[in-house]
Amino acid sequence: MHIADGVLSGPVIAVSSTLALAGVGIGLSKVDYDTIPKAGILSATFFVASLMHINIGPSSAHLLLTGLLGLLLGWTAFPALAAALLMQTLFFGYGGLTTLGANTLNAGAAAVICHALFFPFIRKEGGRPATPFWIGFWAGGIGILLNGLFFALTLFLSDRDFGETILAVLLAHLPIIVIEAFVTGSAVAFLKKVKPELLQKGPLVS
Amino acid sequence: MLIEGNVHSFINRIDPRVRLLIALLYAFCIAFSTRFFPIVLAGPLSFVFVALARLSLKQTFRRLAELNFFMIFLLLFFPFSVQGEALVQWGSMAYSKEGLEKAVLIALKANTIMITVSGLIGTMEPAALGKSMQFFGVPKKFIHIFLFMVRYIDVVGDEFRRLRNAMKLRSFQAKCNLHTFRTYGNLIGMVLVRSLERSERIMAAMKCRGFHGRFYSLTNFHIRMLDFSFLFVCLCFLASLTWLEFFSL
Repeated sequence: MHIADGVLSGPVIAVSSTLALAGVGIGLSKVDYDTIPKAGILSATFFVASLMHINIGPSSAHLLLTGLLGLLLGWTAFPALAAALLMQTLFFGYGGLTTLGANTLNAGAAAVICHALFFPFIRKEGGRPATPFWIGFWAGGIGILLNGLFFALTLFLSDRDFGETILAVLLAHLPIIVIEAFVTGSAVAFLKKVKPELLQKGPLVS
Repeated sequence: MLIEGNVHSFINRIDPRVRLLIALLYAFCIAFSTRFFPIVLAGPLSFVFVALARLSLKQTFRRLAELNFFMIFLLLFFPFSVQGEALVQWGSMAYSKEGLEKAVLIALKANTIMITVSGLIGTMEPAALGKSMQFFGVPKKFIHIFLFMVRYIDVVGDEFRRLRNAMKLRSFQAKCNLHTFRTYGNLIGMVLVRSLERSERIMAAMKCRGFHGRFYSLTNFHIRMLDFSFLFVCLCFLASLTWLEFFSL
Protein backbone atom coordinates (compact mmCIF):
# COMPACT_ATOMS: atom_id res chain seq x y z
CA MET A 1 0.00 0.00 0.00
CA HIS A 2 2.59 2.51 -1.07
CA ILE A 3 1.37 5.66 -2.75
CA ALA A 4 3.26 6.53 -5.92
CA ASP A 5 4.38 9.92 -7.19
CA GLY A 6 1.87 12.05 -9.02
CA VAL A 7 -1.17 10.66 -7.25
CA LEU A 8 -1.55 13.02 -4.31
CA SER A 9 -2.50 16.69 -4.42
CA GLY A 10 -0.18 19.47 -3.25
CA PRO A 11 -1.95 20.34 0.03
CA VAL A 12 -2.14 16.67 1.09
CA ILE A 13 1.58 16.23 0.39
CA ALA A 14 2.42 19.39 2.35
CA VAL A 15 0.34 18.47 5.41
CA SER A 16 1.29 14.78 5.51
CA SER A 17 4.99 15.54 5.03
CA THR A 18 4.91 18.05 7.88
CA LEU A 19 3.20 15.56 10.19
CA ALA A 20 5.59 12.79 9.14
CA LEU A 21 8.53 15.10 9.82
CA ALA A 22 7.18 15.78 13.30
CA GLY A 23 6.77 12.03 13.87
CA VAL A 24 10.32 11.31 12.70
CA GLY A 25 11.54 14.10 14.99
CA ILE A 26 9.80 12.61 18.04
CA GLY A 27 11.09 9.17 17.10
CA LEU A 28 14.67 10.42 16.74
CA SER A 29 14.53 12.17 20.11
CA LYS A 30 13.92 8.75 21.66
CA VAL A 31 17.08 7.11 20.32
CA ASP A 32 20.64 7.90 21.31
CA TYR A 33 23.92 6.75 19.83
CA ASP A 34 23.81 3.54 21.87
CA THR A 35 20.51 2.43 20.40
CA ILE A 36 20.91 3.67 16.82
CA PRO A 37 22.55 0.45 15.57
CA LYS A 38 19.64 -1.47 17.07
CA ALA A 39 17.10 0.77 15.39
CA GLY A 40 18.94 0.41 12.09
CA ILE A 41 19.18 -3.35 12.27
CA LEU A 42 15.53 -3.66 13.26
CA SER A 43 14.65 -1.51 10.23
CA ALA A 44 16.71 -3.87 8.08
CA THR A 45 14.88 -6.85 9.56
CA PHE A 46 11.48 -5.36 8.86
CA PHE A 47 12.63 -4.37 5.41
CA VAL A 48 13.70 -7.92 4.60
CA ALA A 49 10.58 -9.42 6.21
CA SER A 50 8.41 -7.17 4.08
CA LEU A 51 9.96 -8.66 0.96
CA MET A 52 8.63 -12.08 1.97
CA HIS A 53 5.83 -13.26 -0.25
CA ILE A 54 2.89 -15.36 0.82
CA ASN A 55 0.84 -17.21 -1.75
CA ILE A 56 -2.87 -16.54 -1.76
CA GLY A 57 -4.47 -18.72 -4.39
CA PRO A 58 -2.98 -17.80 -7.74
CA SER A 59 -1.50 -14.47 -6.66
CA SER A 60 0.81 -13.54 -3.83
CA ALA A 61 1.12 -10.65 -1.43
CA HIS A 62 3.87 -9.32 0.74
CA LEU A 63 3.74 -8.64 4.45
CA LEU A 64 3.96 -5.12 5.87
CA LEU A 65 4.29 -5.90 9.61
CA THR A 66 3.14 -2.43 10.65
CA GLY A 67 1.64 -3.81 13.85
CA LEU A 68 4.74 -5.72 14.97
CA LEU A 69 6.98 -2.76 14.15
CA GLY A 70 4.78 -0.43 16.23
CA LEU A 71 4.55 -2.87 19.11
CA LEU A 72 8.33 -3.17 19.34
CA LEU A 73 9.50 0.33 18.43
CA GLY A 74 6.78 2.82 19.40
CA TRP A 75 7.62 6.29 18.12
CA THR A 76 10.96 5.08 16.76
CA ALA A 77 8.86 3.30 14.13
CA PHE A 78 8.65 6.66 12.33
CA PRO A 79 12.37 7.05 11.51
CA ALA A 80 12.68 3.29 10.95
CA LEU A 81 9.83 3.37 8.43
CA ALA A 82 11.10 6.55 6.80
CA ALA A 83 14.51 4.94 6.28
CA ALA A 84 12.98 1.74 4.88
CA LEU A 85 10.60 3.64 2.60
CA LEU A 86 13.40 5.87 1.33
CA MET A 87 15.38 2.77 0.51
CA GLN A 88 12.41 1.16 -1.24
CA THR A 89 11.72 4.26 -3.29
CA LEU A 90 15.28 4.92 -4.38
CA PHE A 91 16.50 1.40 -4.98
CA PHE A 92 13.48 -0.87 -5.37
CA GLY A 93 10.82 1.20 -7.08
CA TYR A 94 8.10 1.09 -4.39
CA GLY A 95 6.33 4.28 -3.35
CA GLY A 96 7.53 7.70 -4.42
CA LEU A 97 9.82 10.60 -3.60
CA THR A 98 7.15 13.27 -3.25
CA THR A 99 4.90 10.88 -1.33
CA LEU A 100 7.60 9.71 1.08
CA GLY A 101 6.08 11.81 3.86
CA ALA A 102 2.56 10.55 3.24
CA ASN A 103 3.66 6.91 3.16
CA THR A 104 5.73 7.35 6.33
CA LEU A 105 2.81 9.02 8.08
CA ASN A 106 0.29 6.35 7.09
CA ALA A 107 2.40 3.47 8.36
CA GLY A 108 3.99 5.39 11.26
CA ALA A 109 0.71 6.62 12.71
CA ALA A 110 -0.72 3.10 12.53
CA ALA A 111 2.39 1.73 14.25
CA VAL A 112 2.29 4.31 17.05
CA ILE A 113 -1.42 3.73 17.68
CA CYS A 114 -0.76 -0.02 17.86
CA HIS A 115 1.99 0.60 20.37
CA ALA A 116 -0.27 2.75 22.54
CA LEU A 117 -3.12 0.23 22.39
CA PHE A 118 -1.28 -3.03 22.88
CA PHE A 119 2.09 -2.47 24.51
CA PRO A 120 0.57 -1.97 28.03
CA PHE A 121 -1.17 -5.35 27.70
CA ILE A 122 1.88 -7.25 26.64
CA ARG A 123 3.85 -5.73 29.48
CA LYS A 124 1.35 -6.71 32.17
CA GLU A 125 0.57 -10.09 30.73
CA GLY A 126 2.25 -13.06 32.34
CA GLY A 127 -0.39 -15.74 32.56
CA ARG A 128 -1.64 -18.18 29.98
CA PRO A 129 0.64 -18.92 27.01
CA ALA A 130 -2.11 -18.25 24.49
CA THR A 131 -2.53 -14.59 25.39
CA PRO A 132 0.61 -13.14 23.76
CA PHE A 133 -0.58 -14.71 20.55
CA TRP A 134 -3.92 -12.92 20.73
CA ILE A 135 -2.35 -9.58 21.65
CA GLY A 136 -0.08 -9.93 18.65
CA PHE A 137 -3.00 -11.09 16.53
CA TRP A 138 -5.01 -7.94 17.24
CA ALA A 139 -1.96 -5.69 17.01
CA GLY A 140 -1.06 -7.15 13.62
CA GLY A 141 -4.59 -6.99 12.25
CA ILE A 142 -5.43 -3.53 13.57
CA GLY A 143 -2.00 -2.22 12.57
CA ILE A 144 -2.47 -3.05 8.92
CA LEU A 145 -6.15 -2.10 9.00
CA LEU A 146 -5.26 1.38 10.27
CA ASN A 147 -2.46 1.56 7.71
CA GLY A 148 -5.03 0.84 5.02
CA LEU A 149 -7.52 3.35 6.39
CA PHE A 150 -4.91 6.12 6.51
CA PHE A 151 -3.88 5.19 2.98
CA ALA A 152 -7.52 5.53 1.92
CA LEU A 153 -7.91 8.82 3.76
CA THR A 154 -4.83 10.40 2.13
CA LEU A 155 -6.03 9.40 -1.32
CA PHE A 156 -9.58 10.49 -0.64
CA LEU A 157 -8.51 13.91 0.64
CA SER A 158 -6.43 14.37 -2.52
CA ASP A 159 -9.27 13.66 -4.89
CA ARG A 160 -12.81 12.59 -4.01
CA ASP A 161 -12.96 10.67 -7.29
CA PHE A 162 -10.50 8.10 -5.93
CA GLY A 163 -13.35 6.61 -3.83
CA GLU A 164 -14.07 3.51 -5.90
CA THR A 165 -10.42 2.86 -6.69
CA ILE A 166 -9.57 2.96 -2.98
CA LEU A 167 -12.37 0.54 -2.21
CA ALA A 168 -11.08 -1.89 -4.83
CA VAL A 169 -7.49 -1.68 -3.56
CA LEU A 170 -8.59 -2.19 0.04
CA LEU A 171 -10.75 -5.17 -0.89
CA ALA A 172 -7.77 -6.71 -2.67
CA HIS A 173 -5.79 -6.28 0.55
CA LEU A 174 -8.38 -7.90 2.85
CA PRO A 175 -6.70 -11.33 2.93
CA ILE A 176 -3.47 -9.65 3.99
CA ILE A 177 -5.12 -8.29 7.13
CA VAL A 178 -5.98 -11.82 8.27
CA ILE A 179 -2.59 -13.25 7.31
CA GLU A 180 -0.76 -10.38 8.96
CA ALA A 181 -2.78 -10.90 12.15
CA PHE A 182 -1.84 -14.59 12.34
CA VAL A 183 1.82 -14.02 11.48
CA THR A 184 2.19 -11.16 13.98
CA GLY A 185 0.38 -13.20 16.63
CA SER A 186 2.76 -16.11 16.36
CA ALA A 187 5.79 -13.82 16.12
CA VAL A 188 4.78 -12.15 19.40
CA ALA A 189 4.10 -15.52 21.04
CA PHE A 190 7.54 -16.66 19.88
CA LEU A 191 9.27 -13.55 21.23
CA LYS A 192 7.44 -13.93 24.55
CA LYS A 193 8.78 -17.47 24.85
CA VAL A 194 12.31 -16.88 23.60
CA LYS A 195 13.16 -13.33 24.66
CA PRO A 196 10.50 -12.10 27.10
CA GLU A 197 12.55 -9.11 28.23
CA LEU A 198 12.22 -7.72 24.70
CA LEU A 199 8.49 -7.32 25.15
CA GLN A 200 8.84 -6.12 28.72
CA LYS A 201 11.02 -3.12 28.05
CA GLY A 202 11.01 -2.73 24.29
CA PRO A 203 14.10 -3.51 22.21
CA LEU A 204 15.65 -0.07 22.37
CA VAL A 205 16.39 -0.12 26.08
CA SER A 206 19.90 -1.41 26.58
CA MET B 1 24.09 -5.88 -3.87
CA LEU B 2 22.47 -2.55 -4.63
CA ILE B 3 24.93 -1.36 -7.17
CA GLU B 4 23.54 -2.69 -10.36
CA GLY B 5 24.44 -1.27 -13.69
CA ASN B 6 27.91 0.02 -14.21
CA VAL B 7 29.93 1.63 -11.47
CA HIS B 8 31.92 3.49 -14.10
CA SER B 9 28.87 4.85 -15.88
CA PHE B 10 28.52 8.51 -16.70
CA ILE B 11 25.94 9.04 -13.95
CA ASN B 12 28.32 7.69 -11.33
CA ARG B 13 30.90 10.30 -12.27
CA ILE B 14 28.42 13.05 -11.33
CA ASP B 15 28.47 14.37 -7.77
CA PRO B 16 25.83 12.49 -5.68
CA ARG B 17 24.53 15.75 -4.22
CA VAL B 18 23.79 17.07 -7.70
CA ARG B 19 22.00 13.83 -8.59
CA LEU B 20 19.89 13.89 -5.43
CA LEU B 21 18.95 17.54 -5.99
CA ILE B 22 17.96 16.95 -9.60
CA ALA B 23 15.96 13.83 -8.70
CA LEU B 24 14.01 15.76 -6.05
CA LEU B 25 13.32 18.77 -8.27
CA TYR B 26 12.40 16.51 -11.15
CA ALA B 27 9.99 14.46 -9.00
CA PHE B 28 8.19 17.54 -7.69
CA CYS B 29 8.11 19.18 -11.10
CA ILE B 30 6.51 16.16 -12.78
CA ALA B 31 4.29 15.12 -9.86
CA PHE B 32 2.39 18.41 -9.87
CA SER B 33 2.11 18.70 -13.61
CA THR B 34 -1.46 18.63 -14.90
CA ARG B 35 -0.84 18.46 -18.63
CA PHE B 36 0.23 15.74 -21.01
CA PHE B 37 2.73 17.69 -23.02
CA PRO B 38 5.49 18.12 -20.37
CA ILE B 39 5.15 14.47 -19.33
CA VAL B 40 5.39 13.27 -22.91
CA LEU B 41 8.67 15.19 -23.17
CA ALA B 42 9.99 14.06 -19.80
CA GLY B 43 9.19 10.39 -20.40
CA PRO B 44 11.89 9.79 -23.04
CA LEU B 45 14.38 11.86 -21.02
CA SER B 46 13.94 9.53 -18.06
CA PHE B 47 15.29 6.74 -20.29
CA VAL B 48 18.28 8.94 -21.08
CA PHE B 49 19.14 8.86 -17.37
CA VAL B 50 18.71 5.08 -17.34
CA ALA B 51 21.01 4.81 -20.35
CA LEU B 52 23.58 7.09 -18.73
CA ALA B 53 23.52 4.86 -15.66
CA ARG B 54 23.90 1.81 -17.94
CA LEU B 55 21.02 0.11 -16.19
CA SER B 56 19.41 -2.70 -18.10
CA LEU B 57 15.90 -2.01 -19.35
CA LYS B 58 14.71 -5.33 -17.98
CA GLN B 59 15.73 -4.40 -14.46
CA THR B 60 14.19 -0.98 -14.83
CA PHE B 61 10.86 -2.40 -15.93
CA ARG B 62 10.87 -5.01 -13.19
CA ARG B 63 11.15 -2.19 -10.69
CA LEU B 64 7.97 -0.66 -12.02
CA ALA B 65 5.84 -3.74 -11.34
CA GLU B 66 4.74 -2.83 -7.81
CA LEU B 67 3.92 0.72 -8.84
CA ASN B 68 1.78 -0.37 -11.76
CA PHE B 69 -0.23 -2.76 -9.61
CA PHE B 70 -1.97 0.33 -8.20
CA MET B 71 -2.09 1.95 -11.62
CA ILE B 72 -4.08 -0.99 -13.00
CA PHE B 73 -6.69 -0.43 -10.29
CA LEU B 74 -6.67 3.25 -11.13
CA LEU B 75 -7.21 2.67 -14.86
CA LEU B 76 -9.98 0.17 -14.15
CA PHE B 77 -11.98 2.01 -11.51
CA PHE B 78 -11.11 5.71 -11.57
CA PRO B 79 -12.91 6.61 -14.82
CA PHE B 80 -16.15 5.29 -13.33
CA SER B 81 -15.99 7.89 -10.56
CA VAL B 82 -15.31 10.87 -12.80
CA GLN B 83 -18.18 12.64 -14.48
CA GLY B 84 -17.81 13.26 -18.20
CA GLU B 85 -18.31 12.01 -21.69
CA ALA B 86 -18.99 8.27 -21.47
CA LEU B 87 -16.75 5.91 -23.43
CA VAL B 88 -18.52 2.77 -22.25
CA GLN B 89 -21.95 2.80 -20.69
CA TRP B 90 -22.70 -0.09 -18.38
CA GLY B 91 -26.09 0.25 -16.68
CA SER B 92 -25.95 3.44 -14.67
CA MET B 93 -22.13 3.35 -14.60
CA ALA B 94 -20.16 5.25 -17.18
CA TYR B 95 -16.47 4.87 -17.98
CA SER B 96 -15.67 8.48 -18.71
CA LYS B 97 -13.14 9.88 -21.15
CA GLU B 98 -12.03 12.59 -18.69
CA GLY B 99 -11.44 9.99 -16.01
CA LEU B 100 -9.39 7.81 -18.33
CA GLU B 101 -7.27 10.81 -19.34
CA LYS B 102 -6.63 11.66 -15.71
CA ALA B 103 -5.77 8.07 -14.81
CA VAL B 104 -3.37 7.72 -17.77
CA LEU B 105 -1.73 11.02 -16.79
CA ILE B 106 -1.19 9.83 -13.22
CA ALA B 107 0.22 6.49 -14.41
CA LEU B 108 2.59 8.24 -16.83
CA LYS B 109 3.76 10.68 -14.14
CA ALA B 110 4.43 7.93 -11.61
CA ASN B 111 6.34 5.80 -14.11
CA THR B 112 8.35 8.71 -15.48
CA ILE B 113 9.45 9.77 -12.00
CA MET B 114 10.32 6.24 -10.95
CA ILE B 115 12.39 5.62 -14.09
CA THR B 116 14.23 8.89 -13.59
CA VAL B 117 14.94 8.11 -9.94
CA SER B 118 16.27 4.66 -10.88
CA GLY B 119 18.59 6.25 -13.41
CA LEU B 120 19.83 9.07 -11.21
CA ILE B 121 20.04 7.36 -7.82
CA GLY B 122 19.48 3.64 -8.42
CA THR B 123 23.17 3.02 -8.96
CA MET B 124 24.40 5.34 -6.23
CA GLU B 125 26.44 3.97 -3.37
CA PRO B 126 24.17 4.17 -0.26
CA ALA B 127 27.04 5.67 1.75
CA ALA B 128 27.30 8.48 -0.79
CA LEU B 129 23.56 8.98 -0.51
CA GLY B 130 23.90 9.28 3.26
CA LYS B 131 26.59 11.89 2.87
CA SER B 132 24.55 13.87 0.36
CA MET B 133 21.55 13.80 2.70
CA GLN B 134 23.75 15.22 5.42
CA PHE B 135 24.77 18.01 3.05
CA PHE B 136 21.09 18.90 2.61
CA GLY B 137 20.53 19.06 6.36
CA VAL B 138 18.89 15.70 7.10
CA PRO B 139 19.37 14.89 10.84
CA LYS B 140 22.48 12.87 11.56
CA LYS B 141 20.64 10.34 13.69
CA PHE B 142 18.33 9.55 10.80
CA ILE B 143 21.25 9.10 8.43
CA HIS B 144 22.89 6.75 10.91
CA ILE B 145 19.73 4.63 11.12
CA PHE B 146 19.56 4.64 7.32
CA LEU B 147 23.20 3.61 6.90
CA PHE B 148 22.98 0.86 9.51
CA MET B 149 19.85 -0.41 7.81
CA VAL B 150 21.50 -0.44 4.39
CA ARG B 151 24.58 -2.16 5.78
CA TYR B 152 22.62 -4.93 7.48
CA ILE B 153 19.92 -5.61 4.89
CA ASP B 154 22.20 -8.16 3.24
CA VAL B 155 23.25 -9.73 6.52
CA VAL B 156 19.69 -10.05 7.78
CA GLY B 157 18.62 -11.27 4.34
CA ASP B 158 21.22 -14.05 4.56
CA GLU B 159 19.90 -14.95 8.01
CA PHE B 160 16.42 -15.25 6.51
CA ARG B 161 17.65 -17.41 3.67
CA ARG B 162 19.57 -19.68 6.02
CA LEU B 163 16.48 -20.27 8.14
CA ARG B 164 14.32 -20.73 5.05
CA ASN B 165 16.74 -23.36 3.79
CA ALA B 166 16.62 -25.10 7.16
CA MET B 167 12.84 -25.11 6.90
CA LYS B 168 12.96 -26.49 3.39
CA LEU B 169 15.30 -29.27 4.49
CA ARG B 170 12.61 -30.24 6.99
CA SER B 171 10.08 -30.41 4.12
CA PHE B 172 8.30 -27.16 4.89
CA GLN B 173 6.09 -26.03 2.05
CA ALA B 174 4.57 -22.56 1.99
CA LYS B 175 0.84 -22.79 1.47
CA CYS B 176 -2.07 -20.63 2.45
CA ASN B 177 -2.88 -22.20 5.81
CA LEU B 178 -2.53 -21.60 9.52
CA HIS B 179 0.56 -23.77 9.80
CA THR B 180 2.36 -21.61 7.22
CA PHE B 181 1.39 -18.36 8.96
CA ARG B 182 2.50 -19.68 12.33
CA THR B 183 5.80 -20.88 10.90
CA TYR B 184 6.41 -17.52 9.21
CA GLY B 185 5.64 -15.78 12.50
CA ASN B 186 8.22 -17.93 14.26
CA LEU B 187 10.68 -17.29 11.44
CA ILE B 188 10.27 -13.52 11.76
CA GLY B 189 10.54 -13.77 15.55
CA MET B 190 13.74 -15.80 15.26
CA VAL B 191 15.31 -13.36 12.82
CA LEU B 192 14.37 -10.47 15.13
CA VAL B 193 16.00 -12.14 18.12
CA ARG B 194 19.16 -12.92 16.17
CA SER B 195 19.29 -9.42 14.70
CA LEU B 196 19.01 -7.83 18.13
CA GLU B 197 21.73 -10.03 19.54
CA ARG B 198 23.87 -9.20 16.54
CA SER B 199 23.26 -5.48 17.07
CA GLU B 200 24.47 -5.79 20.66
CA ARG B 201 27.68 -7.44 19.45
CA ILE B 202 28.10 -4.75 16.80
CA MET B 203 27.64 -1.96 19.32
CA ALA B 204 30.18 -3.56 21.65
CA ALA B 205 32.66 -3.94 18.81
CA MET B 206 32.15 -0.35 17.72
CA LYS B 207 32.62 0.95 21.25
CA CYS B 208 35.85 -1.04 21.51
CA ARG B 209 37.03 0.90 18.48
CA GLY B 210 36.13 4.23 20.01
CA PHE B 211 32.80 5.00 18.31
CA HIS B 212 31.30 8.19 19.66
CA GLY B 213 28.44 8.88 17.28
CA ARG B 214 30.25 9.89 14.13
CA PHE B 215 31.09 8.17 10.91
CA TYR B 216 34.23 9.34 9.17
CA SER B 217 34.19 9.21 5.44
CA LEU B 218 37.32 8.96 3.35
CA THR B 219 35.70 10.28 0.20
CA ASN B 220 35.24 14.00 -0.19
CA PHE B 221 32.86 15.47 -2.68
CA HIS B 222 34.10 18.13 -5.05
CA ILE B 223 31.87 19.97 -7.42
CA ARG B 224 33.60 19.99 -10.80
CA MET B 225 32.84 21.55 -14.15
CA LEU B 226 31.11 18.34 -15.26
CA ASP B 227 28.71 18.52 -12.30
CA PHE B 228 27.93 22.14 -13.01
CA SER B 229 27.23 21.45 -16.66
CA PHE B 230 25.02 18.49 -15.83
CA LEU B 231 23.11 20.51 -13.24
CA PHE B 232 22.74 23.40 -15.68
CA VAL B 233 21.40 21.23 -18.51
CA CYS B 234 18.94 19.49 -16.21
CA LEU B 235 17.75 22.74 -14.66
CA CYS B 236 17.21 24.22 -18.12
CA PHE B 237 15.15 21.20 -19.08
CA LEU B 238 13.10 21.42 -15.87
CA ALA B 239 12.56 25.13 -16.40
CA SER B 240 11.26 24.52 -19.91
CA LEU B 241 8.95 21.78 -18.59
CA THR B 242 7.57 24.22 -16.04
CA TRP B 243 7.19 26.85 -18.73
CA LEU B 244 5.25 24.40 -20.90
CA GLU B 245 3.08 23.52 -17.93
CA PHE B 246 1.96 27.11 -17.49
CA PHE B 247 2.08 28.64 -20.93
CA SER B 248 1.50 26.00 -23.57
CA LEU B 249 -1.83 25.42 -25.28
